Amino acid sequence: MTTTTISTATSYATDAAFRTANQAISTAIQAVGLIQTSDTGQINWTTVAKPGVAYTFAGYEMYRFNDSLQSTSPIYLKIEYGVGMSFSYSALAFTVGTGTDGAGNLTGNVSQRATLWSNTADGATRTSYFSGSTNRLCMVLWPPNSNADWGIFSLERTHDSSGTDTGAGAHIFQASTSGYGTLSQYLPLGTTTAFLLPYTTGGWYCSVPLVGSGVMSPNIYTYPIRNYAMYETLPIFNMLHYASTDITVGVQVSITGYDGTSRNYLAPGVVNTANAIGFVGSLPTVGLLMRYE
Amino acid sequence: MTAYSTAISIESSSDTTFRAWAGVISNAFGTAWIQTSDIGQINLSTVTRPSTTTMAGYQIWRMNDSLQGSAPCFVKVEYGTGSSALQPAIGITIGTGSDGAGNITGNTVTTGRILMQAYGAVGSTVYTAKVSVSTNRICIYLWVGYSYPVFFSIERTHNSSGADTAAGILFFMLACWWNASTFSSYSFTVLPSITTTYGVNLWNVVLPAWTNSSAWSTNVFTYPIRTWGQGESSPSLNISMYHYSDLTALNIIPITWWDGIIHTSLPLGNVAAVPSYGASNANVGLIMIWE
Repeated sequence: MTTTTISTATSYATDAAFRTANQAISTAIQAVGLIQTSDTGQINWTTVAKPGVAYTFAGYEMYRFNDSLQSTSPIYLKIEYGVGMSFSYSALAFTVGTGTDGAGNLTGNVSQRATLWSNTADGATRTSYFSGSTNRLCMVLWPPNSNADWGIFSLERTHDSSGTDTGAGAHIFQASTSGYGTLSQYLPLGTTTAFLLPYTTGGWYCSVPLVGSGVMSPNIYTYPIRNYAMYETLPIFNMLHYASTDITVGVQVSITGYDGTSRNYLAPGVVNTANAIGFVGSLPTVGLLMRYE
Repeated sequence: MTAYSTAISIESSSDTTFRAWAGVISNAFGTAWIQTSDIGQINLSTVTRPSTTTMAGYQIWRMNDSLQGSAPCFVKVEYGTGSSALQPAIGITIGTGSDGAGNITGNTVTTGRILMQAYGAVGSTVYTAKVSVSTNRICIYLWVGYSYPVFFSIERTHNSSGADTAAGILFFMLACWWNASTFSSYSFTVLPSITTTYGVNLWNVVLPAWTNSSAWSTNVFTYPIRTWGQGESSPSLNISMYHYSDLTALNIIPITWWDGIIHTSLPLGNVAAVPSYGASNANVGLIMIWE
């Protein structure tokens, strides 16, 4: 279990700036636990050129989980680095699959390619947060969400009622102001490809009440995020929602999940983005907590 | 555990018809709950139909399960009329005790009484009521097929295995509010440890928005319904949600609920365009446990 932060710019005037900012993301992903594969043609951070055309990706990296389930229920993550609306704005694309062909193409069950790109950027340097392990990854990029270029990507395995990882599926969540906006998808990891659940946009599976807050002294309650596997899945652990008046941005808190296990979470500063964080109900403001351990 | 259907008139056109529909609700509670000895309770043999927007009287019922001693649940049921004297109206107040004089005591929801009515031109049609009741729960769907039915559900909270807990009481409602024409949903958890409880005009249930069906391969998937209490509540074991095109309405079938147990269940169809779910999908229906 590892966390790390990076401080990078969200707009790139030069090849060097593009490489520096995006290589920092690459380094962070590896630092928190995912393993880069040997797929051919992966991006070369010393030579890659910033795309000169908007909405273009310059190259990719392929990662895999490194946990005990990887041999029987493999998960691969392809990350593409590029530019958004302007060729100086940030852009990322995430695709998850159950295999690769060794040449950068995901095989088996493959998720919707989720793009996260910026339509504006002020060139400021901002902190991004990463948390992961051999079996999960969560990144919150460039918060707060008042910035046009912020984004979220989360990937973890399904869990059983005891909180133990299972080989059933992968939970994929993404949010940003642009690109696909808000997306969630359950990717089955079995061999069958007869039914691949479509992705859901416009909201995550998380219900929050219409009034009040999560405070019921002496406790503060948070709201789990689930996915659809046709049925309602058990909650994910990478992220939670909370009533933003209950927890201060930047604070880390210990939260007990449905499995009775306490985990450390950070309020990174993503608050009340009805378009980008899906929830139902309308507490005055709803914030995002990311697992931070 | 008992589930049954019974005829129920809707129009309170006389003392007799008023007593008749009220009697259906009273009999439902009386099947498995215990009526208390609170004084002044309604006499359904002699009560007269009240005038418009008036409650004629009440009963106090309590659960009769093993948790009642340590986690008491008391329900005050009031019978009256709505916007028109012809329209049945029902009041529900849930708490942790009664004072013996017909007043619910202990912790209850901030809104106090939940007052519902069968709105509209009720007419002389005799409808069907669906009742599912046990010593620890009750689920009643009144006037099946009417444009403005009344539905309410009361049960204990549950642990992850589905066993009742003493944490609270879950309440769900679908009906027009008293003296109002808006068909609404409402839900809350009464928590013994918390002095006030927020009720919300929503049920905590989310269905996939991309489809009007959750049928896949040999399965049809259904969705748990919650409310909020200490965070989200436990899911209900009285009711669940489904895409109503997937199952035949009023056709009793076995369904594996979230507790992993197969329960005899009754899909109710698209209950008056269920407005309570928390998803952007209008093609949903309600299932009630039928055992």
